[in-house]
Amino acid sequence: MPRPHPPPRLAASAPPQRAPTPAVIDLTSDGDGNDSGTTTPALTQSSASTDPAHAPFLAAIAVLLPDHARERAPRADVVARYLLRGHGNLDAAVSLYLDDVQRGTAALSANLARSTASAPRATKRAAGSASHALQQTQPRPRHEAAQLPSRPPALEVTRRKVGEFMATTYAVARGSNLLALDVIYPVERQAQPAKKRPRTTAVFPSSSAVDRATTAPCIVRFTAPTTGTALGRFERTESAWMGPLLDRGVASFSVAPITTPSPLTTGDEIIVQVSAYLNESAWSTPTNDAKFDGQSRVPLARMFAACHLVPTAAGLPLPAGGADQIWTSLGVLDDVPDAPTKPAESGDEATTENAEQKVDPTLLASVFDKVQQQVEQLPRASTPESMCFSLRPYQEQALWWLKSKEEFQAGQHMHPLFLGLPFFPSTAAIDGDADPAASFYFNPFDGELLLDMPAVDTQTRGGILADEMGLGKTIEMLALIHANPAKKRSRATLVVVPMSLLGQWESELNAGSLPNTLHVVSYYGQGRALQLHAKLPTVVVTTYGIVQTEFDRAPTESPLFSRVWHRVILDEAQHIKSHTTQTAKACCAIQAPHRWLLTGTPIVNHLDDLYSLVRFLQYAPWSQHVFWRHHISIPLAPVPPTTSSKMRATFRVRVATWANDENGSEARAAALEAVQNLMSQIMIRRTKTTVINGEPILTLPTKDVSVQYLDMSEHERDVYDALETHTKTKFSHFVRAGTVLSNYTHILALIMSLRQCCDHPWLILQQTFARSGALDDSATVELQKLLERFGCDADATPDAGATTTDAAAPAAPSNEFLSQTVSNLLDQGDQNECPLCLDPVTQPTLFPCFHAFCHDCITDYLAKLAQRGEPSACPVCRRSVTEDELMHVVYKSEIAPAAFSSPPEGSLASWASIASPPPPAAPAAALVSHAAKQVAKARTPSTKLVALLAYLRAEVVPHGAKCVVFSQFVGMLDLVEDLLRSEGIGCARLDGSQAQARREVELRAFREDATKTCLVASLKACNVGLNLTVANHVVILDPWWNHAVEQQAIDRVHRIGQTRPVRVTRFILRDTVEERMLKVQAAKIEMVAAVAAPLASSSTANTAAGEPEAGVTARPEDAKRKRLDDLNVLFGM
Amino acid sequence: MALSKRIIKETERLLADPAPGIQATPHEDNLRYFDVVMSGPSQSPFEGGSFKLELFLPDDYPMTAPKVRFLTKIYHPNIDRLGRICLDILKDKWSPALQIRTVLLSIQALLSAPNPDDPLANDVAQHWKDNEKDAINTAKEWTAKYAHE
Repeated sequence: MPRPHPPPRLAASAPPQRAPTPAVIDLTSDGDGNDSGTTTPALTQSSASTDPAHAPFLAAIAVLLPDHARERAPRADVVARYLLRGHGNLDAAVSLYLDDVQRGTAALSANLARSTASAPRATKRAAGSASHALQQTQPRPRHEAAQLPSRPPALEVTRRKVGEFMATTYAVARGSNLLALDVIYPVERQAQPAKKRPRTTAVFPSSSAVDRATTAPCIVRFTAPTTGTALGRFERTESAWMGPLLDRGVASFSVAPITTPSPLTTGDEIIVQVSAYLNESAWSTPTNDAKFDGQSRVPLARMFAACHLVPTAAGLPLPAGGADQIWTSLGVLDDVPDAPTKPAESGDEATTENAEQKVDPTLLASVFDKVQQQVEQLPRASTPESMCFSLRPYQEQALWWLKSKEEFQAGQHMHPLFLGLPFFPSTAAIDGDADPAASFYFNPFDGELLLDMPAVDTQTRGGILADEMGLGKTIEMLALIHANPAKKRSRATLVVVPMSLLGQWESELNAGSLPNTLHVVSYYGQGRALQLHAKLPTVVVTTYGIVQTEFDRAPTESPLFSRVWHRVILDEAQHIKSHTTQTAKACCAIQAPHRWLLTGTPIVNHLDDLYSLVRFLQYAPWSQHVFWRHHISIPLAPVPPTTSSKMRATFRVRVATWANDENGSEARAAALEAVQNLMSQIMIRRTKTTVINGEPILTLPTKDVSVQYLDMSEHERDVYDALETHTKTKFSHFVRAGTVLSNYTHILALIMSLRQCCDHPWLILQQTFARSGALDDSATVELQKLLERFGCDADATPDAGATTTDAAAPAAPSNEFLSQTVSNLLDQGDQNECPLCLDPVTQPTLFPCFHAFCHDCITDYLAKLAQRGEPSACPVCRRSVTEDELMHVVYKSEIAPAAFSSPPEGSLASWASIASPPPPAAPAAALVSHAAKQVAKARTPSTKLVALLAYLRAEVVPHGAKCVVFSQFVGMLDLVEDLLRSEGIGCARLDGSQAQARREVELRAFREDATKTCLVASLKACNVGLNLTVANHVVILDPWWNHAVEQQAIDRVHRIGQTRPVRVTRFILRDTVEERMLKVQAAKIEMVAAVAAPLASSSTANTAAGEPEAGVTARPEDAKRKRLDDLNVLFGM
Repeated sequence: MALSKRIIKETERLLADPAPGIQATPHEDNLRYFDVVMSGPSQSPFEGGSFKLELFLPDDYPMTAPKVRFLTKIYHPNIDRLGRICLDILKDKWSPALQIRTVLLSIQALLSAPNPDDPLANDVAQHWKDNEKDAINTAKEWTAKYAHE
């Protein structure tokens, strides 16, 4: 509360005849009775300032008070003093100056006679004219006011001036001499006409009623002190916040005009100097905590911003810059002009619905808006010397933030949520005689005002580091560990991580530090022990599992809980998102003054996830569950839509107990805001798109994407053309029948086989063409054909004398087996015994593993498996298969006549035979050895494989670089893997069928094993977080339908951590479906761009077929046509 | 039916070319029921013993696994007091490509290599784990006591 008021010195000279100023008692000038002599600007006659830095000040004075500026321009020291008082803010300084000029003038005109009494001091200063001397001694009117005998004593301590600002107002009265420079006018709020609404509209008001209620102008006027006539009205920018403050009795204002137009006409501009005061009821005391409802928060902040108050103390780092930046960063300036200053009773059901609709969808995202807003202005801290690489700029910013949080000293700082703000500066303070009590404390997050410094009631130093994945949270923490070591040697940093990250943390911590600067140990496993008495490590890494186990078992005996750590860090903090879990409780029980949480996804499901984090941080008062529930959970809880209106009402009442509004909508908004504010204080979060100083925080090396066009080999062309003719025929059949779209899936399957054929014809032969699914119908593979296609130049190396097994000798066992099987099949002999019936195979059916069974036996078996719900698998090797992959072997003697007489539709055998007539019958023996040798020599690489090999040999292997090879087809991955292996190029493999553990093994091999040049991967297996930056080459073997997916694939390599230029090569076969797919892709990209364009232009593209254009509204139609067009393109029709 | 033909085929082969140390004879009245005599593998605690088993081929064999059980008492972590055998190919890992012969060979292999980590008889397994030497001695004793005829 205000200090005792010293006896006013100027009481005797108070001019009794002066118009009483309305309750203007300036307590800030207590004890500086001499100030009138030193700061009244009017006396500063001698010579105007010539300092160039003062030019703007002088110019402003010249504009606002031309006469004054001409006659008595202020001296340099005076200007400097005002600039100082204005905290460097020109507006504030000018405003203060004008204020004093006003007062000086007022005094002059009010009491000329009194001037002689103070003349000696004026003459001592050798001021110029007598009138100036008079002014010099003239006390400031606010002092006079304090001495007015008529004033009730209680009022003297009721309000304190916090600042002044200039405002443009509009006259609401007309007449001459209504305004005088020397009069202080009171400001009041025009009483709102009471809204009379029928009861019904109160419950279900029309929207217009709502509009009126919420947009009703908030009129603030200043009036003639004597008559009470309204003279001028404030503009909405000011009245929007002045009004609520006046309504709530928090603040009061008075006005001194700067311009006094006379005669005055309604609507005239009156520039005024407004003094802002805080009333006694504004202060929060133990008995008066009603202000903690957030209602005054924004208006107060607006007021302080208008007065250009710069915090003298802040519990938390504030952005550099002037008052504007600070208040903007606190998020209190943006929303006010639009924010309705509606009275509490105006809330109703309709606005509630609006609020709910507005809040819910964006709720989670909006929580971090404010967090992300503030990152740009953060200063940077330099990389600690004990680290072995330098941080990126945004990481240095993070380090600064982390350090500032840790160095925050309890006891020396005030409550982190408060700002210390100065009262209207007294001259004593300016002269260096600082008055420590001349400040008050404001909580910009809930609007609380305090006179005494709010004590810190938490020991916590820490926060949430929520940078997006891939920005280097670990590194930032490592930097903090280096930058802010424990003062006591015995204290270490404890890092709690999920088990899978244990090794990664340990190695990253060690890798990022110079030798012997960090001693990292992991506390994990059966025989774990910490040597507490010996030299303690600087960092101990353990897992959530261990923490929980030891907490459950015997916390007092565990080294984790029995000691105080220097710092505790939880990685992937979403592990403790539920505060009721043992893990969360265990983590909270770890003792450490510095507490950190790392997470890329601070909110997993709902806002309450944050509570557990705040609780871990021990961030009072939010860490108390009651408090959180009351202020966050309950207001934000969605109202169940199914509940009856009565229940809804009950719910509202519950909510409303907090916010004093009937429906909770304001409570929701306030709660959301509270969370936002809370998070902006304890969390730092940047995303990859965050921009700092106009540049994205991440600048990646260049990326060069090129398309390599290839021509098919003759063999491939044969197969492909035959297949394409086949599919085209089918497609045109559908087109003629008009059933294209109903057979869309089927057609896609056709295209899929074409695409696979581009990769390697083996892929389609392996799984048969027709996809009807039934074994009986499944297309038959002409074995001889199959072998011919994939045998390589057999004729060039005739080896007819060799027996089948001999020919297969150099190959792998599987090939040997394969050749054996095939030769047996070709033989049509009975060497092949069906493992199921133990009889010679009849109607052989081949598995992809080349195990052969009788058609009946295997069908029977697969049906049994399906019946039991078990996956299909080869009975011999347990390799899983789909029925599509089964090959039904048909002997030429059987099919040839059939093929020529009546080709069954969809049968590969038939069209293959037609496309390339069967070779003349060869002697059986020759055929056997021929075929076996071909198979044994493994499958011929396709054009793409050859190109891939060439690329790797030329660009990747010689440079010791690494390459990721993407394909969509698992079969192709197999082929690539086989090829690379046989060519001696090491490779790792990643596909969807692998378990997580297996994938990690493969990935580690690719990252760490220098001989693993390639990663053969299917994109679907590459989850988003996957980091493949160890490679800088990407080969995309087959085009994706969706360009964005390809982009994603590339981003696995071209992401943070990538230091080298990335080369991306896409293989496209000329004159195939692939080339046409590129066209469709390009069209899609265009279309996506066009979505943003006006609708009108989008409807023109699809009119080619001559059908009547259905108009822009027929979107589904458009989509269908578009699909059809795409298909036409794909089939080259 | 091809599948019962398979049983006949298997039986013929078992009789014509028996696996070493294994003798499987079908019942005359029920060709799906086999009496099996298995000699304990050398170098194992069961060496020298001759163990009787019963093997039954269910109706849908070979789509489901045969049912096999030891009749002779045996001290083995994967065989319980009732003679039931814990062997994956007799359960979820069954494949119709397996045969009576392979099943019996697998059981013989199990005698050579007890697996106390996947026990059917918990007490035996524990014994095996705690004191393998002692357990092996017990197994030897049991073999001498029950498997010698």
